[in-house]
Amino acid sequence: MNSLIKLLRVLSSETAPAQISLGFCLAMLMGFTPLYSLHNLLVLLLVLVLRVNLAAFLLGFAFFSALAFALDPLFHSIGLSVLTAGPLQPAWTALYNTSLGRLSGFNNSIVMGSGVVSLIAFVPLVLLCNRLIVRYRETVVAWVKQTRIARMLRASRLYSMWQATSDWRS
Amino acid sequence: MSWIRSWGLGVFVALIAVWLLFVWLLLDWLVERAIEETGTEIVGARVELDAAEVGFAPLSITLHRLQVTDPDEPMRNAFELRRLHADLVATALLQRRVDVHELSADGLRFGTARERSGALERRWLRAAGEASKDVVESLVGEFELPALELPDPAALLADEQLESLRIIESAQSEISEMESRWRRRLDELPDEARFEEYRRRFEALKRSASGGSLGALGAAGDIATLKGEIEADLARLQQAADELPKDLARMRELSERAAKAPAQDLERLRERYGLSMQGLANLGGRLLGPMVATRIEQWLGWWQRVEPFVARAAAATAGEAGPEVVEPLRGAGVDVRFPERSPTPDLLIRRVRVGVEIEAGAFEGEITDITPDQPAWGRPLRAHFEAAELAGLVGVELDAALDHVKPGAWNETLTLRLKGYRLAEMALSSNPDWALRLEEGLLDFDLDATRGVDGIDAHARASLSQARLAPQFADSGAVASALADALAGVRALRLEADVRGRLDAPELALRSPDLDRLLAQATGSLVRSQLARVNAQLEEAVRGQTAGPLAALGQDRLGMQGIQSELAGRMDLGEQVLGSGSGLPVPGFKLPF
Repeated sequence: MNSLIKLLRVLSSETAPAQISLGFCLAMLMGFTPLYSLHNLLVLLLVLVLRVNLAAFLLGFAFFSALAFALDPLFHSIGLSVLTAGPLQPAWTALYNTSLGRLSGFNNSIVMGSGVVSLIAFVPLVLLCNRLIVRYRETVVAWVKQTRIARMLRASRLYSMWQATSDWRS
Repeated sequence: MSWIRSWGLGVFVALIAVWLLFVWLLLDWLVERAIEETGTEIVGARVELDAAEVGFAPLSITLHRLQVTDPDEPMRNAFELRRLHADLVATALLQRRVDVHELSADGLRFGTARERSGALERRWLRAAGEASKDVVESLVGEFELPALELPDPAALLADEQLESLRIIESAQSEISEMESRWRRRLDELPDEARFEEYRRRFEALKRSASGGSLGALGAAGDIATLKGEIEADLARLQQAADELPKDLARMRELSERAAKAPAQDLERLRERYGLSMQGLANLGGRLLGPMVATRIEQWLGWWQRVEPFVARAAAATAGEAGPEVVEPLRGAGVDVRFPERSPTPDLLIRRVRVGVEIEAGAFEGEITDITPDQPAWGRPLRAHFEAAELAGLVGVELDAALDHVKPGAWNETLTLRLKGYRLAEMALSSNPDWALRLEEGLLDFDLDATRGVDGIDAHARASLSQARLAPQFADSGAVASALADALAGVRALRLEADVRGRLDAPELALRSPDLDRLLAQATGSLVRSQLARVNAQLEEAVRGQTAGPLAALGQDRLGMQGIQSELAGRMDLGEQVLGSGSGLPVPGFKLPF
């Protein structure tokens, strides 16, 4: 419930939709692939250095990690197909013969399968999330703000005080 | 809005630093736990470490007091290492490989006592060793000692259903039924009275034919009719006579089987109750069999446990150049291996220097090229241990080569030469009824074993001298006492064992010619006289029970033979009657005008 409230707060905040989407999609990369993989260091660096929304990242990470348990067989099957595909053998062989390649664990079927799925889904998911967040703010948030209760709450001193402390926290 | 969070890099560096600190602080403990858990899973009993140290400059691992519990004796360690040190190649770790140039293992001791049990509560971890144990337990079962108390023939027969009685009764019933059937048939066939009737009719026709040409002419037709009747009757008798031999042959077969049945019953009873000298054959081998089988069980169990370190399970399916799918792990996907420019195994220990400490003294050995991926490395695992002139051991030499370089044609060899090893207080038989202890002795032992795709082929020879045996048999009978006396006097003995077949279903043959001869001599005359008496009593009892039914069977057989005589008699009579009508006119004769 706390996570859901956080998500609603992020969605309703002034944060740019792209920051939220990117945080969510980077979480997909880290959540779908096995945690102790080399590429996740890069994902973590990006999450921290780029101004993506951390709450969206954390919520997304929890969500996609849970989803990965169910999708592991699919990732394994996709990864194995990619790793054993004839035309890609020279590339994989070359990568396998490098220290970075071996350290990345790319030759594991789940690392490869989840990585391929995450990378393919990354850009479309960013765009989709962007659109959904904009639509959510235009419709749901705008409608809520127009309700009598919301107007009464916003007009109250309590709301002003909560908003002030909320700004400090953020 | 800037897309860069300047403090993010600092947080990232801080997180990595905290993680590295965490690993540095806990690494020793993590390595210790990993070794204990993996070792425990492989061995099927607790593997414990006092401490593990990871060094970074140079990269190394040192293990202090590694204890590996004997799965069959949880209060004893199969072996214990005082210290193990390995220098690791750091660049190999970056490629997720473990490459150890030299590993030194000091203070290797076998069979040390444990302070607490090393048995596992989680039984599933023992699965690997259980299969071979079951197999060898079945081998041990074959080495039961014979019961030396001979049974009372009367009591023995009271508990037994004699098969011979059933066979004799069955034969008698069938022959009796056969005889009844033939009696009924004889009643339907022409008999003496009928042939006498034919004879009378011939006489009458003779008389009418002697009344002149006209009379002869009138009788000719009747004579022809009569002859036809007689010939038809003779044909019926002939048909019966033709069928009878088949039944007579069956009767002879039944009679012969019934006659042999009592002897077969005797043989069966002698075999079941060990009433032959065969019961004493290979007695030495059978007495020592359980101990040898237990040692073989332990040896095969360890051989199986070593297997994962020399042969990757999937190696046999590996292609020469294409990608190879390796070791599927549940929930963790599979690793696909690609051809390497300079193939190097994931785990490679190039040389292990082992310092062994036994009661007789200390010596060193060397194991080279330990890897589960020999096809990639191209060299088999080899081990060599040698020692001489130790206190209580004249010499020992062990050579092993586990060659899995070509997965389809793998081969493992092991030779052990042990000379002048002083043994003391060793249980040679733990059977509570046939306990045998070696108080002291000097052992020479040779083992030559090979294992390949066709299975195992091992030959072991043990020669014990300056021995003092202490038998403790529960049985106080004359034969057991003679055995015990003979064993107590043994000063030297040889034992040979062959193990062949699959590792999970080996066949064991055990021989101790010296011991067998000695024990046979000690007990032979005693057992032979007892056997002769019991056999004679048993034979008399069996013959007594079967004599009556066999006599009844003989009567039935005589009855069948009587039928044969009866048929022959009737046919002779018929032929005579037919012959007596040969002088009479028959159709077709020429009239004198």
